Amino acid sequence: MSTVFNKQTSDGFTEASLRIPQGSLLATYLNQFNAIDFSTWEPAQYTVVKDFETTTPAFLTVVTRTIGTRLEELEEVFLCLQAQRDQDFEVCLVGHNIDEDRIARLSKLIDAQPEQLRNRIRFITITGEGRARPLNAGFAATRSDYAVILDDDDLVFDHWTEAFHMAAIEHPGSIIHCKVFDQLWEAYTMPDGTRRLAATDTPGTIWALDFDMAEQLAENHCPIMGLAFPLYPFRDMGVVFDETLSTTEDWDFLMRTALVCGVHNADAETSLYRLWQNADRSMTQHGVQEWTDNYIHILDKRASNPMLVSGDVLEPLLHTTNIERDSGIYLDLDSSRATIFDAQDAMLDTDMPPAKAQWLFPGFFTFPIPRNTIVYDCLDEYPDAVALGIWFGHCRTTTFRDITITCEDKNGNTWTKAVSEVETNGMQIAEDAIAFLKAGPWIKIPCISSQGEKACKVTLTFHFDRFVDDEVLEGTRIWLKAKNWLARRRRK
Amino acid sequence: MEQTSLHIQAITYNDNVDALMRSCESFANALRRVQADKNLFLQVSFTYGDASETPTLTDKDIAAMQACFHDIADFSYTFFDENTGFGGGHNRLAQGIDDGWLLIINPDIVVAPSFFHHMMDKALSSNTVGIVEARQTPIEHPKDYDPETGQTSWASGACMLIQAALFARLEGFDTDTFYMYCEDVDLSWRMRQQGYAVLYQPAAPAFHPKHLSSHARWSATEAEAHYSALSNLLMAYKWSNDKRLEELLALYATGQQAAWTEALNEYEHRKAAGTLPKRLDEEQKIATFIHGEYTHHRFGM
Repeated sequence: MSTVFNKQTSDGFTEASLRIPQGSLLATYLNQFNAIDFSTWEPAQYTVVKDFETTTPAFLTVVTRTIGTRLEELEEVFLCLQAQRDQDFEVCLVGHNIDEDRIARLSKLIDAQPEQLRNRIRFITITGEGRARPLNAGFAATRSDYAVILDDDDLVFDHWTEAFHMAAIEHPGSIIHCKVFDQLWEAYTMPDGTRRLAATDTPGTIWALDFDMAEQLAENHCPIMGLAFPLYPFRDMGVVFDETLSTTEDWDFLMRTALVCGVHNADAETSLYRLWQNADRSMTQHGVQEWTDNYIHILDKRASNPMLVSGDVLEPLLHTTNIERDSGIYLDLDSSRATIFDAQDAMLDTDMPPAKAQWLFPGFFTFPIPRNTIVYDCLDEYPDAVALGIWFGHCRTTTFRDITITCEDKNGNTWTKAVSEVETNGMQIAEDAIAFLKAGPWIKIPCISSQGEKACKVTLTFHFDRFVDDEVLEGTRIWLKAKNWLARRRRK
Repeated sequence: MEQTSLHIQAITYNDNVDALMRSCESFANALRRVQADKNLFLQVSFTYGDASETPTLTDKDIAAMQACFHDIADFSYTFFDENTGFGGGHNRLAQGIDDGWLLIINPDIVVAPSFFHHMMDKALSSNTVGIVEARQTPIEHPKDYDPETGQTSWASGACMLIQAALFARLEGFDTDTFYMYCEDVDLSWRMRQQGYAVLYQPAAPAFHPKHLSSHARWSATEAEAHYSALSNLLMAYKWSNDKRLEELLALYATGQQAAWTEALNEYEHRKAAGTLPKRLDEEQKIATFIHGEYTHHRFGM
């Protein structure tokens, strides 16, 4: 089902039609008007609801942008596509600013693919600045209902297209969101010229979360290969990638499309985002200032436009700020991890045995507030260890209070560490308290005493609040405002 | 370069025919690429052994697969009419093969066009190469290897290229001891005992359709838990690691998991019946048992 809007010429005849699928957020919004009694009104424009059959040759277009330097990775992308259980897709490979030699090498790689896949790959080349340009070119070349961006170094499981397809049948017109694992990888060129790609860490779940519109308004938590976009906003409504953005173009496009289509969570983990430890990625290719400028530009654009969101997104925003909203109650302690660092700050073991931990969640009116204890007593297995890192799983704003850190060496001698001695991505807000405002709170505890004794056991005790104190939040807001104001000033 | 022969074989068990077809297409394509570029193989065969209760493939499916390989390999299909297990099925298919290379794969493995280029580069790099293992993708196995030479402790049976004569000489997988799990580790270690190298080829990705739990971890089925528990005991016994054996026996005696109790009972039964395997590597030169794994792992899963 779709809602069809007729564009009318000046003399009232239909000129063109815009089809809005029924599963989209915009159609839900517009259909509300059907419930209004228009009997006393004179109609000036007609809305007709009717079935329509899709006539596109494929359900999905996989848009892959490449600069032609990662042929081994791209061959692996094609391998993943070849292995898909649902083959109802085409591929649009967009070569961006590439010379004749690279074009030839990419063409050769395409020619080497099995016929079934090769016949569905289209290779286009474009020139011009910016990461958004090849995406607009790729989306413009689609011949499908949906498109997904798969960069030339990503990995997807065999049910990647299937999960998108099944969910799109149930929720036509919505963006489909699937979860993405992260994993550290390294790439080396071997003496014989081949490239060796190697995973170096356990797959992680930092992005394996449902799409949350309120959270997404603040920052992007969704790697692009986990999102299948319906193409009618791009084709018919002018929602295209912003080519003035040198970074964050995916977040900007996702949010502008989401505000038309809505997002359906498919509840499937279907891909793996490779975080290269020793190779360039967008995070390292662009400076902090560039990322900040683009972020502010997106916020400025959003501030000047009306925004369509459903009630369930609005409700929590009415009562809390976005940084308070995702509080300690979302702490997923089952996914907490620890690691060991040596004197060169290298990680010796990223998969330590689970801590002997007592996790207690405070109730809303629980007094006294329960105390948590975490014990790591296996440090003697790591002779080079100088620090213990603990990552506390998924959560954003929370506060750890009454923190005590006790270390013990193999002879039973103990000493304490002050909060000021630990490294953390939170803010120390008191002698024994840390407030965390960013996703994924972590601390790093030195394991060596001031006399040079090495701890074999570390005990951390604390209790945590769901929220960060208002004065801390207010202070942070003022700081952010000042930072943004300064950034704007610099930009002008 | 002297041409050789290649025998590719997989054991199916109630597998999806579309998945098998995707696998066939990828192998046929990779074979055409390597033959066009290097003309390495004088003869190539591709064989499915079916251990399902009823035949997985219809005559039409078989015809489609024969057509897929028509210009590049002899395709054949054997319905065993019994569940041979992984090792038993492969041993049966490999009977009589004692030349060239034997590629053992899971039936749903899909490979890239350059697969045989990279695998054979490694295989032909020395006369002492016994096994070459492909890199599984999208979830790479965490097993460690030497980044320069590719040397590794053992190779996974999901996709391993073996000198066929050595496989025959070693009498294939030890199906008297193992039904499921660890037969590939055991074969790799017996190969190394004979002085042959087991090499990992990271440049040759082989798509192995596996998924992770929502916490990004492997989740074993009941059967996997049972057979891996038993195989762990039998590996410790066969490869003469009494310390590991005692640890496992003590752990399984706690009965915390049903699979542990079942494995313990089966082990005791075999011990009483005198059917435990002959012990190997008593000087512990080959076998490695590290944190419950059979070699060092680069990361946990």
